[in-house]
Amino acid sequence: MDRNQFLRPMGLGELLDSTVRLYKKNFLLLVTAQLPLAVFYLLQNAYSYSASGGQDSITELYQMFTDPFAYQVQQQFAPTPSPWYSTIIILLSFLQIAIIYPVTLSAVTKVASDSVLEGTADVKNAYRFSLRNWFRLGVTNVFITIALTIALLLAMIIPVTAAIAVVAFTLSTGSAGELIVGVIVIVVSIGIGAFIGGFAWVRLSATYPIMVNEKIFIVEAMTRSWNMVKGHTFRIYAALIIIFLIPSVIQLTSFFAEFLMKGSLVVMTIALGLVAQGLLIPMADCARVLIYFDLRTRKEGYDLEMRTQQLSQPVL
Amino acid sequence: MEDFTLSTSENVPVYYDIATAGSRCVAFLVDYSIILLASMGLIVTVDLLRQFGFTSFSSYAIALIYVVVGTLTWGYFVISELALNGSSIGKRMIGLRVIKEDATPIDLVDSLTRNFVRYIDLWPGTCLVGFVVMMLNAKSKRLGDYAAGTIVVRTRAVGLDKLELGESSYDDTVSRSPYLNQITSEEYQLMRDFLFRYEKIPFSKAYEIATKITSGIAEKLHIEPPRGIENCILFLKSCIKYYRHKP
Repeated sequence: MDRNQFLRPMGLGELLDSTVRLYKKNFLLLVTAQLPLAVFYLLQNAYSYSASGGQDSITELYQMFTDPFAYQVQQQFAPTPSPWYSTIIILLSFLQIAIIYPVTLSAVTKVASDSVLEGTADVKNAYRFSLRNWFRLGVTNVFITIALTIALLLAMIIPVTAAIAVVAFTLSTGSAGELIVGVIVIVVSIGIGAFIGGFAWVRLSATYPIMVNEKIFIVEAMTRSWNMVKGHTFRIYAALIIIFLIPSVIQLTSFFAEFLMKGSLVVMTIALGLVAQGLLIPMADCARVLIYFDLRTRKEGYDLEMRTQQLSQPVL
Repeated sequence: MEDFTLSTSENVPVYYDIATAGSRCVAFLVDYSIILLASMGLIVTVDLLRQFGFTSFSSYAIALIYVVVGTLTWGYFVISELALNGSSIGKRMIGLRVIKEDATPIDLVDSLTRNFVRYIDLWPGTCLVGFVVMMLNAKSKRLGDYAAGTIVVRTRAVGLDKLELGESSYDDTVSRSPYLNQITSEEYQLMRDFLFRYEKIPFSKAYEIATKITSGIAEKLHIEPPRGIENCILFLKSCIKYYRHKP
């Protein structure tokens, strides 16, 4: 009997390596399961791009700071977005948060979890589970989004307060030297704020694997995730940041290309975004699944329980 | 777990854990943070010295310092890989090591080669080439590894046997059982793992697992199963003490 290589307490490096292995092992299944969200992302971006007159690229943002006059002129001649634009964008965002994202994420999580536990996985079964529980998954995701938004807003109080203090001090003294120190203070406090905001994100990171594997939802699942991650927050924080950096590699490539070519590459940005969403985000979902099993083995002896069951069936 | 097996000349298999893009990403971030800090430190020092009137800094010396900064990436990896037996500081922190495909240590030429090709792996500044190549092969090799014939593996710390077995009231019963050799190596490993970790898991769960393991083993040994967690622990310790590996 082979021991399950994914069901064991793992260090940071082992966790990341196992994530990549699980992802590579189930690449096609994971990408297929992720497809609805990737297609939705493509449609959302295509609509946003066409309805807003081809704006929102990194080049426009760059131009806004480097050449504000040219930016204003360009904005004056840009086509006016449809009056329904904002409403449709809000509706699409809600649809994404309440249905598409939770259903897809739980399907991907189910594929990864089944692969860990049983060695095989099936996209059809994963979607059967997701669609059967779509309402509870959606409500949970809305709750998570609200909780993370509140955490982020609370965390942003620090940099906002710092910014107000710096501006007030600079205006009263009129010194340019303090302005540089002030900018550093603001940047550092944004970092601290983002770190605190990220803390809640990390604590809730096991919610989806809990919903998929234990069939508990909404507040119960969120509370269990919060308590499960407790005591391992920084290790998991590091693992998740590293894993989320990998899709960023792909997305950052288009930004690099835009800066180098000094032109808008919106199509390339969307294409690379689609690649990152469709091909690489499942890797982050695999990480969440492995984090969940790692925490269960550490805190609840889940691997020992499974091995005991396996041994007691045919041999003992 | 072990995804690279090498047979030595005596046909002894040696297993290695290949380091994937995941753990190598951590090592990469640590190493480049060190390089960035060192480069910034050098530039700031030179600038400060010039500001404080150290005009004796000739333009050649300044040019030399900038050459040092420019080649720091290459030099850092080559020097650290040679000094730390195939690891850089970041790799050592996460427990990784570069070896040749035949499991021998890398030499200067290997290190120079794999780190020269690093510049292609880094292209276009986001490591896209290296990442894609690593994801497309089973040994997670980047182009530099292909060029030098190297792989990056996980070095494992061997845990010392710290399990204190001591005297147990079950020693006599267990040692006299003629069915001791019925215990499999998987069961033995499970008993050990349980004894190492049972104090870290909730009592109710530990009790449940202990009961399941001991009842199974006791049945095999034709012994009355122990009751209560303390007795279960003593029983498992005796089983480990007198376990005989089946040939």
